[in-house]
Amino acid sequence: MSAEGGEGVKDGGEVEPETAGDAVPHTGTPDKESAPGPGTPEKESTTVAPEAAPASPKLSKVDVLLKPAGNAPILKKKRWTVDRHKKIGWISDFIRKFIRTETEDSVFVYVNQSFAPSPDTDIGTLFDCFGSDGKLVIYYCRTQAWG
Amino acid sequence: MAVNNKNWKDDILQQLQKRNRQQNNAFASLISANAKLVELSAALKNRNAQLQADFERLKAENFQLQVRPDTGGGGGGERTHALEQKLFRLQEELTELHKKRGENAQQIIDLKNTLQEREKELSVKEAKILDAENNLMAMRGAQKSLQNTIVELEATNQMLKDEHQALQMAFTALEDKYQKAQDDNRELIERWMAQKAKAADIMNEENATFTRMRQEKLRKELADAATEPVSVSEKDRRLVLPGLTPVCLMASIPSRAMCVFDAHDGEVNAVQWSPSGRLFATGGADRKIKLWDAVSGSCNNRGVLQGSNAGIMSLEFDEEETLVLGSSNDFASRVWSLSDQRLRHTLTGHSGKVLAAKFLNDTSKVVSGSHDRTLKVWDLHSRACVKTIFAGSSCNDLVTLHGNNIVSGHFDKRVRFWDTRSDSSTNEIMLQGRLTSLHLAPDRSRLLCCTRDDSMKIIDLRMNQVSATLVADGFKVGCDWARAVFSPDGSYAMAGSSDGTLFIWNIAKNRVEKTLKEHSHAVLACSWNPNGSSLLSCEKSHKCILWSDF
Amino acid sequence: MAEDREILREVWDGRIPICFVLAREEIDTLEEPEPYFLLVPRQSYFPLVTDKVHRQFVKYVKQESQAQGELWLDFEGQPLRWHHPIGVLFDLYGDPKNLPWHLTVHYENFPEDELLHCPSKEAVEAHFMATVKEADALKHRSQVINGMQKKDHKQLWTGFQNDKFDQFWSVNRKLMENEGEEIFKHIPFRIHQPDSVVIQKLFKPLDDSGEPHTLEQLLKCTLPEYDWPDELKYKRVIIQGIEPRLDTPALWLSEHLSYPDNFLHICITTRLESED
Repeated sequence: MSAEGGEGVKDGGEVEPETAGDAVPHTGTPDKESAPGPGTPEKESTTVAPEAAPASPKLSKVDVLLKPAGNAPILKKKRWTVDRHKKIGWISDFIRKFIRTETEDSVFVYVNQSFAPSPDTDIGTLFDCFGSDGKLVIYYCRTQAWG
Repeated sequence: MAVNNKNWKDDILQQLQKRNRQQNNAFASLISANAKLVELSAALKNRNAQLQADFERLKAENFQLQVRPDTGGGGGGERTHALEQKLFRLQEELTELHKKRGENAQQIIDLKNTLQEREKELSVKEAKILDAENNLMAMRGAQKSLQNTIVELEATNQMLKDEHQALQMAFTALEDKYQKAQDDNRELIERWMAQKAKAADIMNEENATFTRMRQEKLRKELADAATEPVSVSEKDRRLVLPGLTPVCLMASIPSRAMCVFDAHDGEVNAVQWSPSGRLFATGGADRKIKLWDAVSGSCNNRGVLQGSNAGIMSLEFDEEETLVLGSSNDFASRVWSLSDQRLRHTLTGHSGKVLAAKFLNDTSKVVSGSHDRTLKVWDLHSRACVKTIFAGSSCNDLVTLHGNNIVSGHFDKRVRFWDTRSDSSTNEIMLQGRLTSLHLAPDRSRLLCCTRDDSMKIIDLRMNQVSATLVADGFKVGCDWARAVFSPDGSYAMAGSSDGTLFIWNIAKNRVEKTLKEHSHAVLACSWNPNGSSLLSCEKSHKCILWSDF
Repeated sequence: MAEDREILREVWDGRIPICFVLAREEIDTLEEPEPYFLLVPRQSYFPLVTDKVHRQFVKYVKQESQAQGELWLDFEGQPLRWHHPIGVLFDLYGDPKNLPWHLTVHYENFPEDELLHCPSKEAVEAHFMATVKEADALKHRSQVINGMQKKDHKQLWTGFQNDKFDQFWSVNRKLMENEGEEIFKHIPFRIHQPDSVVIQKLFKPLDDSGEPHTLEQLLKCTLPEYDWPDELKYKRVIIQGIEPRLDTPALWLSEHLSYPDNFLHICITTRLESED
């Protein structure tokens, strides 16, 4: 736990520039976050689904980096482009299929090396809150790794 | 700010308190009371069940206690005791008997029930049997009707068999008749062939006599001329007299191209001297037929015959030199008159390009051979197709023999002989390559066949067999309608090769006498002036060449 | 740090009276079970309070459903997600004017598409702790939660599970640390709406000039398609069963009105014509 904790701190450091950028909607600095800001509100209000509002509606997909933890097998392809509206549960099913684990065997998925998001969480939401350098890093393992 | 701050905080606290008042406090006591009641009711249920059990137990105990005083109650003496015991035994016996009676009664009832059941079963079975019998009757009826049907069918069958036999017999008789007719036919043909051979012999005899006489006359004239030297004009020497078909005694082979000229745009498919040798015609892919004369080494255009909608494939003059016949890729053949150069007839009916057309017999009929695998005979008076011959393969060239006979050369390597009065071919000869052209020797005894295996065959028409094969190094037949010709005296054969060389064979010696190279493209057709002194050849690209030494 | 202890206590004490009824079509016995009434804490999760309900109803359903033994709940056909606090579910779907809250208990036809399975109480604990960690990742980049000992984590959970305010808050206090260096990086909040996905975004507690952001600014940032505050004519913004004023500082709300999972759950529902 202590070693991983150390890593977590480091990871947090990496996240920093991204989180600073996310304060943009209030400051008005031009950035991807500001896109739905001044120009679009009327258009936005006509759409029925309130979730159409998040960060950048033009980007319907996000980059996800899948990293193994513990004794989990390494995936050949680590970087994937995933639909924002896919759920975390879908990702763990996806990983389970790729590392050929029996369905009964569990796959644990972690964000920020610290917490396991609920399976019905949107990838897009996690990306907005915990992504860094334009990608969301997800660790997976077959035993509970953190907490 | 502080006041404001206080406001929202108070507001929240008040709302929370109100929430808790409404949502918990109002229900807390109610729900705890309910829970207590539920628990209480469960406990009471349990207690009730327990009490019920106790009650049952106590009842049983009570009964036991009631029995006990009776048995162990009095010390009233042995007798009473014995009597009581006896009574008890008797009572037991009685009970036993009652029980037995009951059992018997029960048995009787059971047996009765069984009996009733059996009866019921019996009646059911009887009904079934009745049903089955009915069924059987129906089946028998059906069987009988089926048997009748069989008998009927057998009768019909017999009848049909008889009919079939009768027909078979009729068929055999007809077959015999047919056989006989065929035998007759064969015999007649043999006889006819024999007659033909005889006629040919006579004709040859006549020809020979004629030639001999001519030579005799010529020699005499020469002798006369020798004795009497006279200056002879150029014109007289060429023996070209208007209105008279020149007779060539000996063909001379020119060695130089007198005149090279552009005849047509594109391919020049056909070239043909007129029977008198004064004119010639060319036909090209530019849909035109052009008329030319050759005067003192140059060729002059004397007219253009128009009307065709596609390239001209073959040309023929009639014997009187009044008409020109051309066949075309537009599926039609056409006849023009030479005097006014006008289109006289258009013969349409083929469903493929027409590769060859010839006057038949006299100028009243035309026969054409087409890519549509048919030959058609046309009557120029009625301008109608009077006969269609299904040849089975596309026809690349044809020639007309005396009377109604036609010889056609085909894509399937066969030369076919036809009599226009019958539908089937009278003979056919198979060669090694597909035929591109046919040409009759002037004495009509031999046929020059050009084939795509780059050889030329000479067929002796009296023997109906190949009498000579002409080949040469470098001789390659350029296309499916490359034309080869005899010389007017029949001693040479001429054909153009795909490299533009003109080959001339001496037939008697069976070797190449001369090659003439001036064309730079494949030679498609050539024609030998009937007076034997000059040649024409045409090629795939514009050009036509007049070969002559004079 | 949260100083308004009275408010924290009021929030903690929130309860909802619920009437559980077994789904009619799943009753397999002649006798019909009585409805079961419970007063459940708003802060809790359904799997932690439905043991008695299960004991009451399980004997009335089919053998195979008894063997499976997993119950799920719906309110008027809306399946209820166990991993959201009960208070959130009530604010989202329930009606405080119509109490007790009538819920239907099911053992059959588990709606796989809408609900997650809850295999055990350990699953609830894992979910609760993961949510607390996610909140701390937003607030302190996970530094506070990672700095705690295992027994602190355990105490946080047992205090919550056993409804022990003091036990819970003695640990939770550290997570709500909000002074100087420790000031929240972002406010952990989630916006719930009926028939829509949960919205969660990064939102700083203070503006550039150091002034605290208000609830109104939070709503403007997360739901820009609505015209705040005029939208209040059509929408109710409910937190912990009440409707705070929009000028309430978001940071204060996070400190005081967050659920024990450290998230400020905001429910936005349609204001009906009949309501004031």
